[in-house]
Amino acid sequence: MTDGQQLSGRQLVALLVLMRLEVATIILPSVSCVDQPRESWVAALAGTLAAVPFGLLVAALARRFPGQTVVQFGRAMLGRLAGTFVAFVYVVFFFLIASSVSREVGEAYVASAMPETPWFAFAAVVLAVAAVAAASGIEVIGRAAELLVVAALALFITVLVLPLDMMRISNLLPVLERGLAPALPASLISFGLFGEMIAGWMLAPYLDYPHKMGKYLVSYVVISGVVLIAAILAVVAAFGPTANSRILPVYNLARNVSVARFLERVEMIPLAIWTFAAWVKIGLFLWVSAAAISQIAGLKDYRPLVFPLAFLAAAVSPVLHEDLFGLLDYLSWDNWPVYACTLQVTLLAVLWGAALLRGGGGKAGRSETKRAEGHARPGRGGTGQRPAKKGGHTPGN
Amino acid sequence: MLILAILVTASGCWSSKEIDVLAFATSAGVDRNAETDSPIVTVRIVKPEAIATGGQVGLSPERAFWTVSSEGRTVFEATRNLLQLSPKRIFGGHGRLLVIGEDAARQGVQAYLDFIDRDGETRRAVHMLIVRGETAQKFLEAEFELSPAADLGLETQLAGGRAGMGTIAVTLNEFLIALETPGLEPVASAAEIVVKIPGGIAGEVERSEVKSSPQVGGTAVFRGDRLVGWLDPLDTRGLMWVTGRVVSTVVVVPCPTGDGEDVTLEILKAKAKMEVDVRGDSPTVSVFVDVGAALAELEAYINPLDWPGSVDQLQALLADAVEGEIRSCLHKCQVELGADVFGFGAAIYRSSPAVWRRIEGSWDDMFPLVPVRISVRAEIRRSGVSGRSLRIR
Repeated sequence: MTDGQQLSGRQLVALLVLMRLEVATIILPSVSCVDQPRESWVAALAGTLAAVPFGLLVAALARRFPGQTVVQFGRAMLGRLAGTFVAFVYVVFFFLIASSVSREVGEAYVASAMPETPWFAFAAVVLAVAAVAAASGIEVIGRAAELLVVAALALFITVLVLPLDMMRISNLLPVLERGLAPALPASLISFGLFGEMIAGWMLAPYLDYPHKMGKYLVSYVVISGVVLIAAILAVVAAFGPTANSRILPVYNLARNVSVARFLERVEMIPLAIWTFAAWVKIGLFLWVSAAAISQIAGLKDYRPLVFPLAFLAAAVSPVLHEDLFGLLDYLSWDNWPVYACTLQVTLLAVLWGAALLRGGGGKAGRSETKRAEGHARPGRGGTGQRPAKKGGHTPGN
Repeated sequence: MLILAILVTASGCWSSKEIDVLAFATSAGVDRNAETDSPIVTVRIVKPEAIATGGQVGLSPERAFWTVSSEGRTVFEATRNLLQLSPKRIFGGHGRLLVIGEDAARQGVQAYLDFIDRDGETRRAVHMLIVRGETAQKFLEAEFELSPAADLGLETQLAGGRAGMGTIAVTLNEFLIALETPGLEPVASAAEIVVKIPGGIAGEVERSEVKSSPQVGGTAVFRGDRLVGWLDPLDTRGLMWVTGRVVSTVVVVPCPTGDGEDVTLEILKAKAKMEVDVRGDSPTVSVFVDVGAALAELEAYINPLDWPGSVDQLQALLADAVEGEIRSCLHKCQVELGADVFGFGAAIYRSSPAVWRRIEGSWDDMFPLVPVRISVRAEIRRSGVSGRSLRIR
């Protein structure tokens, strides 16, 4: 029941970096959903630093159960009922994000470039294309991400650097005037978004070098953290105290670029970046949801689930937030970030706790893993066989 | 399936705007109707055909732009009402200047600026001008001799910092940041209309002669969002020294030979640093200005090689001149206008937020009394291609 797909480390990092930066390119909630944008970079730094040990723990857990997804090792350690519940929570988490992201993209397009178009048009298109990618397999999405992440990052950095004449360091001072504590709740925003890396628990069986997962996750945190903090600094330096009136800070920043009266109005660059990042993120999360559901339900093939999930995500997206302000409120620290951080940390703690207590997986308890389902990857139909090289999509390969 | 998908996407989108139905507004102006207190929005639309043919010396007979105005209860309503007068949809994305009439500015600009900031088409990089003694509408109807589209030319000058001595360039972004920053009052460039032929502003479609020209110089000083006064060009330069905005300007100092001649020094670089001392009961401010200049013009005979002290004397004279301009500006802003356009309050806030929170409420009273220490260091680095000046034998 394997499908012969593999993810290289670079693809994993690319996937995760785009996943993380998608929100930053569109809304940059650390700045636009926060009271004091001047201190956001401190909060983002705190979130990034906290994400590093989190990533190491996530990777270590996956390493204990080589070739298994969270559905499998969750059920193995927690028992069928509790494990299924945990897996269900996991699926819902990612499914809702996919739906929300499609809404974000739609609203962003409407607010910026095409105000007359209903946002749903964009959301539906992105979901459709992402569904096609998800149904083609994780390697497809991974390769696409790998190809374009470098360009996306380079363009993003360019957009941050071009408006240098607008930026004033005085807009960034004073630093932490009220002390560290009031700035920290906003770090939940960054941490919650970093924590989406627990998608890695479904991706782990596909890695070509599973033992390097820790390194991959740390590189993801470092790369996206650096870019994120640079973005926050750039936006706040350019817009000063008016920064949190911007709904789309990076877009607005690019709009006002004027270099030597020649290079102006490069706002289409953030548009392109966020479209692509959103597509990758939605594709990834649709895949994660479909794959996990197929494993929970014991299905042989996850692909038939992808398009129904996409439809469902499209149907849910208008309901998820009432309007754009609802979306912004959702992303401020006391809404989704609290939920996300709690979920991520709890899942990690529960699974680790079970692993330590029941001694499951890894070097200890090898017998348990054999007893549990040894089928690693979500099936694509056909008999299971582990090919030596990357295989095609034909069943039974 | 594929055909359906292509059909749906290739037919164009809801928001498509073809370029030939757009009227490009290069400048916008806001005035206030004194009787009804409603905003009058004027928009200056460029006519690309007229500019294209105006490449030769002597401008084409057709005016290269068209101004249209209308009124409404709010700025957005007034802008919408413009559509009744314009056959093409007005597109604000290429705007360069935002001009506000003096009367409107005195009443407070907050109400006018929100739409401009919120609308997705306008950019924050537009330059703000306040028209002295006239309405924005009249200003937008005036034009330059040399360039058919005055505002494009103006904006190029402003952006390059070369619009003449004592002209400050302020973008909408800077203005809004200053509005929201505690301890910093916003400023904008001041503009006037120079009437060349008395009794007229400009023709409607044809241009017979240039009847009036726009002129930018000086600064409009605000307290909060209300205009409170003006700075003349020399005081504006004082402001620019302190806020580090001097790009390229010229300072004339008396010749050290003492015979009444002048020396012109071209400023190459000017940097300023503001330090705030909050110890004790009241804060004091120190301004350090570092000026690099070039010897541009000597009216009398001086040979720096023969007279080594001449350069030192010139540097001292330059430092005095700069300090004088700063003092004059300080006096005007502190005593007469009571507006902290230098950002002393903001500097206090940045260095010690706790102190600022204490004095914030009484800053309006404290600001005029703040002692300011000015220290200018001037250095003459170059002298063109001549060393000594002309000697008559």
